[in-house]
Amino acid sequence: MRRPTRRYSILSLLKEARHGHSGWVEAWRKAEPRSSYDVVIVGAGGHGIATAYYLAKLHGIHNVAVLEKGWLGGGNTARNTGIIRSNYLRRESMALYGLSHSLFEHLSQELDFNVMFTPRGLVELAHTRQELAELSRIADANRHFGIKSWMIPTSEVHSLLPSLDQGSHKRFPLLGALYQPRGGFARHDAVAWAYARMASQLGVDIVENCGVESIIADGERIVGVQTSRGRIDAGTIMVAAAGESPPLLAPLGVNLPIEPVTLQAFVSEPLKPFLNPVVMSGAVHGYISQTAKGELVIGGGTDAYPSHSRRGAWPPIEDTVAAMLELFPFLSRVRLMRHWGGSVDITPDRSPLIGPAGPSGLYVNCGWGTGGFKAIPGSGFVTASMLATGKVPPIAVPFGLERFAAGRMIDESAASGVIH
Amino acid sequence: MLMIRCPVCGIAADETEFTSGGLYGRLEETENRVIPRDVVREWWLCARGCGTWFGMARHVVNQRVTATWAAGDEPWDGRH
Repeated sequence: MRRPTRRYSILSLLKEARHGHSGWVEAWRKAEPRSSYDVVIVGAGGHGIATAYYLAKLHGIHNVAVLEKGWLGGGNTARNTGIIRSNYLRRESMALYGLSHSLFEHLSQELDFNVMFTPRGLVELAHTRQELAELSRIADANRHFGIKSWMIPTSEVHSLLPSLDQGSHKRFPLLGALYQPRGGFARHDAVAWAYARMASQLGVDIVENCGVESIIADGERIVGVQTSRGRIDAGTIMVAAAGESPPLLAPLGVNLPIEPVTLQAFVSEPLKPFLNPVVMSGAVHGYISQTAKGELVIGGGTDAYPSHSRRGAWPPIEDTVAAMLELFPFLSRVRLMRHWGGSVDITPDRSPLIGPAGPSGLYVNCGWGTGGFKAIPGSGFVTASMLATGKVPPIAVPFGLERFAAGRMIDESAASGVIH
Repeated sequence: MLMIRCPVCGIAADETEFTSGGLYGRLEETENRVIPRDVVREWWLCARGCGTWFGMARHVVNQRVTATWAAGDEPWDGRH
């Protein structure tokens, strides 16, 4: 009996080719929930799964369950534009997103799965004097804190983006841009799958179709969760359920300042390669990148009101398409093939919530709003450390819930890149 | 797309003519409330019409607008 093939490499491919590809095993186990675990993570999106992986890999905690109401990575992990960058304004954000960005650099090797991280560069256009000042401020902050991102003049923008419409006829003439050469994008699904596969191999149970109905506390301590498939005991519980987190925590007296809003994105039909970097624009408001397949991935602003539906409104679609045509008018005949909406969990300062909440043993990692995908590796890394040691690591400390009462907001409404 | 009728000036138009203003009621009553997967009562502004804030009932999942009313003329007893 041959041993099953788990690793993905050219050698395992050759070995399997000789044996009719009969030795491959499923990427991750479809686990049945047990009655108790050391750690239960609510939500098998990127942040939940990455946390489980680092718990098992770096902290030796393998008795972990990730409970998911729907399917693996089916929420906002599957509903974003895959952009990765770390050129934020505040030093707290630069530390967190910068860690994440640096983990992305070697993620494919670490997880033995091609997450298609493509650092083609990221150009954030300035079309008004005010934007130029704002992006220059971000560039200065980035330089000060060691994030490789700087302002470039229009001539350099045009050499990076020869297809960008330009000239004095434009309503918003180009004045410059913030450039992050290692910015880019990754395949969103692959990130969830890669973490799930490795976490599963390390003994983590990923339980899909298992919705958590309530969190059970005994006095000041967390004791377990009630799920659609019975009760599961755990001394440590982490809620990473994005916009579904507030109703789970409200019965415990924890009010998460999160508002669910729909954010939409679009994919065009495939075109010949013409766009190398990721392009973002605040004034016309859109962000566009071209995938390896040639499709354009296009994003814009959120809907104008709170919503739990994953089906967005029409006006943001029109605005986003108008923004794309303002930058690249020659795309006017290109058809959009797919469109999706995600319910993003927006906080008052556009920064996430990471830290203990309410009864002892309960933690949250949510409120990522419109920019959570790029943070998955870093967020999982620091959250795993927090769950394993019970101490909040220095990078995560500023993102605790108490910052709202203390007035220590980490205001990223400008640098988060999405108008809401 | 939401189709909204302003209860004050009577203009019926789509959501781009109006501005969402959060949950209905006084701020201290609404600031810690979780937005349910259900009908919510909200403030909306007739931004490009008469400029009046009014009340509206909207389902946050299927986005159906079921009622609009002028402040002080709520279709139920007392304020909430």
